[in-house]
Amino acid sequence: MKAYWPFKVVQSYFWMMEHVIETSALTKRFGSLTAIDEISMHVRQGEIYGFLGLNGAGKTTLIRALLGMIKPSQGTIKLFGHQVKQASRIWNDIGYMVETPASYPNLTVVENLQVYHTLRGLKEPRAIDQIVDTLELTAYRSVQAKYLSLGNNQRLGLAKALLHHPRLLILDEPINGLDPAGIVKIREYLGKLAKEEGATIFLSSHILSEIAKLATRIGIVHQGRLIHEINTEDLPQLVHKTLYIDTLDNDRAYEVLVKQGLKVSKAKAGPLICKDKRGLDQPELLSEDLFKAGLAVRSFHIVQEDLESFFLRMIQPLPHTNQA
Amino acid sequence: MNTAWHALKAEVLKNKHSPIHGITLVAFALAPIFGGIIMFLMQSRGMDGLSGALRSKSEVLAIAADWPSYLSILTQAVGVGGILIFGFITSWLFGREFSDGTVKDLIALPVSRANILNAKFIYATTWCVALVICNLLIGLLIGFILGLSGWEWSFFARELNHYFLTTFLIILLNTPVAYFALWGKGYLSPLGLVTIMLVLSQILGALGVGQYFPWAVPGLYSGSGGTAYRSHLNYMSYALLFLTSIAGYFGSIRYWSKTDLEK
Repeated sequence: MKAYWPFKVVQSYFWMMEHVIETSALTKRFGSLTAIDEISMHVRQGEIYGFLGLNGAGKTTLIRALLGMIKPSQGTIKLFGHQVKQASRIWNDIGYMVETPASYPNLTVVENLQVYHTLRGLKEPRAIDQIVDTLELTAYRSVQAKYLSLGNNQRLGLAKALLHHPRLLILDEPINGLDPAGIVKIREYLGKLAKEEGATIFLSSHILSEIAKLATRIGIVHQGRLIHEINTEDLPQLVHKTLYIDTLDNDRAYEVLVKQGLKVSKAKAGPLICKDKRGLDQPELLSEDLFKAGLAVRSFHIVQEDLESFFLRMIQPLPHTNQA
Repeated sequence: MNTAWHALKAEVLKNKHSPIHGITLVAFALAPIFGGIIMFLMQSRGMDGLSGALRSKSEVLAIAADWPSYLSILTQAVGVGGILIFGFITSWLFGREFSDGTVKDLIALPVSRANILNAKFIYATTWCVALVICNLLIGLLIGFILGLSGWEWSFFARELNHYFLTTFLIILLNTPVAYFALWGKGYLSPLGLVTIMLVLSQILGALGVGQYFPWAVPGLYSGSGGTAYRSHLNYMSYALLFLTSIAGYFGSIRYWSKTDLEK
């Protein structure tokens, strides 16, 4: 066994390093209100983790706890394998934006960035120009923050978060206030950051469709609890699909399909509804069966549950929870 | 040390276009200007140049149209007006981060929370000192333009000593104001504190126990109630003021370092 211990140390070091964010039973109570309740999560390096929940679900509280703005009531937080501490150099590896970004209203865009450039003790003099250009704020560089539009103010908030090329980005509702073109731009930029620079991105949102376009993994938080974690690539398999079959004689079609062992339901009027996995996976076989039975098919289409419905279904209380 | 320096540099940057400079400069400059007007009125007609409460007060303080009286007015203006103006500056510097919502961007940084506060204290102190120097220069300019009589270097040096010691005593009272800005998460609470303390210092001064009330001490020291009151101050008066200041400083650091930033 002794021969292996250096290997184990190295292995555990890399395991620790791989997990950029680790929380264990993280809980925060404000009086009688439990804002986050025993959240244990791991975010790996290079991952884009989408933290999804309704307003008041606990997203911002978790982000504030990660950033050391609030002390957990219980549980632990580790960033890059280290406990969160004030004034650590590790904060220069982390960029963040919490809720609505705020700026010094009388300072220009560049002056606002100079404040954080100075506070972080950055040496790179071109860092400000680069991030201003990247976030398309060049035309506003000399405009006082109080005159910026909501979208440009959001860009300035992102610029502050990205100024120092952080290895971990923690963003709370980063696309709020951005126009559609701005949303696409930011999405592409964040995607590039994770893919090309290996940055880890933790972002919260209450819009699943937006998170789904960017995140590699999604955590769903509801009433302070992390209730589901989903790999985004698994999302198509998880959303419900329904096959609608409309023939010239739906009553006969129903009998044919039930005889095939398919679970089909029929309404008084309208098409037949099939949620059977076999039917959804191979609709062409159903079509063939109906054809063989001499039934002319009028329409045959699969409708996928939209992401909003999926999200609402995910946060429904489980049946056993109701009974309890 | 490096991060402390970064915090101070950032504090200077933050206040680059701050309206507080202009507002406090103008508000504070009213004192030497107003004192100059009194001197001007008395120069031509003596006490008859004044009327109402101004005349009564001038008679009590035995003011004449000369340098000793004018320099004494400047010191008294610092003693009373300083509490308000310095309190205003401190409330702004410490409270604005909450009101502007920028406080959340000062937490997850390589700079400690204590250094952020220290930078603010240094900036507030520097600005307060700059204001009193400015006022002194304005006063000297007005005095020389009016051609006031009775200039003596020895008296000037003594009055300068009072002037800056009064300033120092008021600056010490910035720390509890800062604590209230942090505790109240904005500038309303500290401004409320300053107002209440000013009123209380007047009441307690009138009751004859002002020497034991930290906010009344600078005013008494400046001679605003008459130079005789300066002798009422004792070791306990200064000790209480220092203790208030120390409690304000450490209370601010501790509160700011430990508190949750929920908003």
